[in-house]
Amino acid sequence: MEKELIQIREAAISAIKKVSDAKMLQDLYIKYLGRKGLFNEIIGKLKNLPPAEKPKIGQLINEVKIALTKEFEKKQTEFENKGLEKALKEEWIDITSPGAKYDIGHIHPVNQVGYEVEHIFQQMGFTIMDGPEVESEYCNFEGLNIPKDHPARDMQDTFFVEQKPDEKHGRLVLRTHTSPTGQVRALEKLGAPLRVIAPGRCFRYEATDASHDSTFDQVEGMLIDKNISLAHLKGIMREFLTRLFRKEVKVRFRPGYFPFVEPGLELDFSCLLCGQKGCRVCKHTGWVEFMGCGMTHPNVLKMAGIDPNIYQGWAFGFGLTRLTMMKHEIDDIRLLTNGDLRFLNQF
Amino acid sequence: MKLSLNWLRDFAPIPKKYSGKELGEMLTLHTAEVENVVDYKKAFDGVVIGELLEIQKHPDADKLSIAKVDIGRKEPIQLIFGQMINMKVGNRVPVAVAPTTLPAGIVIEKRKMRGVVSEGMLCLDQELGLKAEGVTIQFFDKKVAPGTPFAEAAGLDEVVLEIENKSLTHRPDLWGHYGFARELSALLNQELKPYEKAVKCDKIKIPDKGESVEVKIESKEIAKRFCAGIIKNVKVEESPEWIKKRLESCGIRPINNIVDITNYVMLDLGQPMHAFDRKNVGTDFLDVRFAKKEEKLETIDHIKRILDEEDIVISNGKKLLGLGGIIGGADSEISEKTTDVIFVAENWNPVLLRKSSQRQCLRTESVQRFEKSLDPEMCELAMHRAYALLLEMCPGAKIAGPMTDIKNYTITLPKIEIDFSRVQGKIGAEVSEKEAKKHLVSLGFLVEEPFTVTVPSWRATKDISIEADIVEEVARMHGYDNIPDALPSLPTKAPLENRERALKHKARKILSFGLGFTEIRCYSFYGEEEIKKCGISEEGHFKLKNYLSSDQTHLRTTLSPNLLKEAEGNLKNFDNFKIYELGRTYKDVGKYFPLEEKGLTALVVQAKKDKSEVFYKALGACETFLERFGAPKYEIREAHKLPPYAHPKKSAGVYIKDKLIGLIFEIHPVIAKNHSFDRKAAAFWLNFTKLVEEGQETKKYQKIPRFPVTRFDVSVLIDERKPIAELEKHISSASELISEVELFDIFTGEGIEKGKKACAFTITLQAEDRTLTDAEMAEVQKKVFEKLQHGGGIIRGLNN
Repeated sequence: MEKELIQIREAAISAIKKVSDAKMLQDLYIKYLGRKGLFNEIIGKLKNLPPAEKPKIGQLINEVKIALTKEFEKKQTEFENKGLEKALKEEWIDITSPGAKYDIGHIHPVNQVGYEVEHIFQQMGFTIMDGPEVESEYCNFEGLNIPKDHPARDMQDTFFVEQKPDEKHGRLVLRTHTSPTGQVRALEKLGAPLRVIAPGRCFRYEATDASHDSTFDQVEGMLIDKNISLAHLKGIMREFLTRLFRKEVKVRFRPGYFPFVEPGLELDFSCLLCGQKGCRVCKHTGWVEFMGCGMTHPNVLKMAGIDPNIYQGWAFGFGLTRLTMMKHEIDDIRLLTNGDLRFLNQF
Repeated sequence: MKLSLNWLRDFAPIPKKYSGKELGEMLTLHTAEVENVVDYKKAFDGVVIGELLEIQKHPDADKLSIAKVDIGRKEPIQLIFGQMINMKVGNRVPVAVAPTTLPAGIVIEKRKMRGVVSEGMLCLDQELGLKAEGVTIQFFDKKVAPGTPFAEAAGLDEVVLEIENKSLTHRPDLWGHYGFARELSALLNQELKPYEKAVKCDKIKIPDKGESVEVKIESKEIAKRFCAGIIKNVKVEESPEWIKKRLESCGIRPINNIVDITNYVMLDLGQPMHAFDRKNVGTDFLDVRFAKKEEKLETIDHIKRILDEEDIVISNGKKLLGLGGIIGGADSEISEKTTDVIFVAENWNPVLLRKSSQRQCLRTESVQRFEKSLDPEMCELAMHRAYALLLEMCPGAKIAGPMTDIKNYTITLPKIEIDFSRVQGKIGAEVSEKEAKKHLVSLGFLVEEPFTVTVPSWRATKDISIEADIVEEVARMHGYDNIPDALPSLPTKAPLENRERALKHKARKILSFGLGFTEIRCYSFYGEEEIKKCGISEEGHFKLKNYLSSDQTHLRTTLSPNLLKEAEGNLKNFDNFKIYELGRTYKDVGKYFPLEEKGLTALVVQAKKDKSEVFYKALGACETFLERFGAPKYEIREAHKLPPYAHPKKSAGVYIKDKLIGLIFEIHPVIAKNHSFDRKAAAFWLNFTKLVEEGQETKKYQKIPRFPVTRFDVSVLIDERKPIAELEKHISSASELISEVELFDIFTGEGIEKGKKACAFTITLQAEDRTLTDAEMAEVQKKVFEKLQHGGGIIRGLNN
């Protein structure tokens, strides 16, 4: 019987080796290891053996079965892998066909840029402040050293709200800049030292065209402390713009005029589009006009109850809407207060 | 305002080595913004005067000639020209020498024409872009040497700097050439000539006796100064070329010598002037006063104006001659018949004048200057200058008598004590005290030791009065470019948190990147049309006094009207979409300031063929939003008061601690129709301000179950109007093992009895300490069936 087992083993192994497809292997398996296969037939004969031989033959049976099973499995894997290899060779998809659509919305570009701006200034220790958009004439003008009948009021055409003027506040207006929040209210509420930005919506009563809208966003900033100079303003703005554009940005000052600062300045930054070689965007000057700024006028500090002999500092205000337009090369401001999804879906 | 470089050179020797561009840049960085620089000489670079030495016919072209032209080089050049104008040997004309480009864009290159080389072009005025039409050429006489640049020969040797007027708002001294010459001389370290000497009006002789003007000023506040004088035997004619050219290069149209003189002086010194025809005035009396109510005046621009009691007029006692400082009257205009002239130079009250010009909607060159608070010292100088110019032009003219000069002011020049360490500290650059003093002196300040500054009259009216103003002078002269950049040290205290803003950003992320809504930003206002279309009341709105268009008249009290309007616009291009706005509303609550609150309104517009209840899309979005936002426990139930644009039945309120904080609603069909909606839309609104105030809940960890869950489905047939919430309550009450009840289908229609609905739930069972057995599940299932049956339901697929 021992001989018989070994014969079966040898015959099966050599047969497996010769098998050329899965079906043959299956047949062979049934022939040997199937329910009515040769192997079971032999096991059936086990009971006829003398008891002394039984353990030895039993063990052999086990060994042979394991060996055969292994061979079958090996061959089986071989065929499967061959099948996979073949399939891999033949398979193809069109990778130019579009991917599945995912329904994800968009945050308005002004708010995307606004978020970045807030984030950078927060890292530099600035508090973000909000204030009313419908503002008193006092906060919008007088508190900023712009008395009545000052020619500077012409620079900021104002929307007036139908409301009885108040003795203290004057007329009710839509704020023409975020300075009433970023300067007047911030100084009154938080006092000095102060490090604050006030982003928000502003309004101007001026005819609408591709670069002017009645509604736009501005970011006002103020830093008041002891020993604060124009050099710090330059430093902070260079740092801010460099982080925002993720490129080394240069800034320069020019004289400018705003009643709430003295000296009053305009700040330009190096044109990133042409690398200061001169292009349409920088009007061939290499510099892009960015914002008004300057050392806070002593009157503004005094009106907020802060001693200008102890504290000094600066304020600035730039257009967030304009910055957004520059960043994304948007050529019509009106697209930003218009809900056209063909525009918004681009951001 | 435009500046001519040649004109500036009347007052300061501006070295030729600086180009117009460089000077413009210098002024931009130190004084005022130069918007544009036009250098005529540069524009005609490559065009020189050439003398025709020899002319012969082109051998191969009848209509062409060949000329040898002397252009000041060793050898003459050869060029070919047509026969549009008859040319002779000896003619001196403009020649464009190749290679160059003419201002009109014509490119001149050396090339062969029918086998003969041409090295340039004889230039017609039209080719040079000097004239639009015709065929003309300029001939130059023998005084002009060949090779002279054309721009120089034609008197076009001019650089014009265009100044942005806004940047002169605070500078009364910079409204004429003299002021800018002062700046440039300080910047270039050059001597500034005294005005009278430079223009030679210091030797004017004004007679002690003779005819003068009598001036009466109603109130001292009207004008600080008023100068007037008569000149007789004037001949009104065209101004000499040089005056016309200067005026034209500064953008002012020459009219006649008298008017041109007043304009010239204004551009020269910055002091506006006016000239009256003495005969038209009729008397030598000028009455300066406030206008009477509804007094009428026809001005030079032939507009009949109705005046106000705050307008200032000049009258001869009987009739009005003009609006003081703004514009003259049509009646007293200078004409060819004028023989006697009254010149006036005044210093008007800037505020009164500005208001008057605003009321009359008239912003003239003179108002623009007067409103800046001009130096009253200039009036007399201006008169002298005008006299001198007129006498030069009309040698027969005669100053009739003493100049009338009313002064309603006394000069007090501000003295400012300077704490130089503070000046330095504000600038943040290494500026020495010596340098600072030098800059101030060069600008005309009087500096006394140790450091006191007296402000010159031309800066003293409003511009400079405190130390901070001196900081500006020193900083700009030192050069803003020379200020280094530095970062201030960070305070140890962290900045205050702006929670609401942080949460706004969070809300946007959830809505846009989580729920697939797109953010839009609408105007803060709408108009009656929008109000009507949404069925809301005008009450509670603040209105604008001045507005730009009829859809921007009311401050919004709700975000919905603008959102619906934008949705309407998108219907053309999109079948379905989801948009939201997170913005402010402004409600009139009977106080001075409106109540400003931040609102969030999100709108779901469903695809046209989608007939499902859109309400549930808005509801689901709102619930997911609140959950993700970390809102405290809220409840959604019937709202008692709905806005008119909400569907009366398909609406619900969002409540936190029993306070209404939001709404979920389908758009009212009438309102939807008003906005041309041909598909369903629903919205949710949250009072964002209040939602933030309610606080946010921090998520608490829930243990992950150790044992597997068991699920079974149940479908129940029930009255159509039975609330799902009630069914869920029935189911949940069946057993404590039920951990979740989820509705997965509602079905009505075919196969379902009318008035009934079939609702299918998946029920999840979970025990904390064991795997549930089949028997336990069967037990729960039985109880669930009982509860549902008890509540009026029929369990489908079961023999009830």
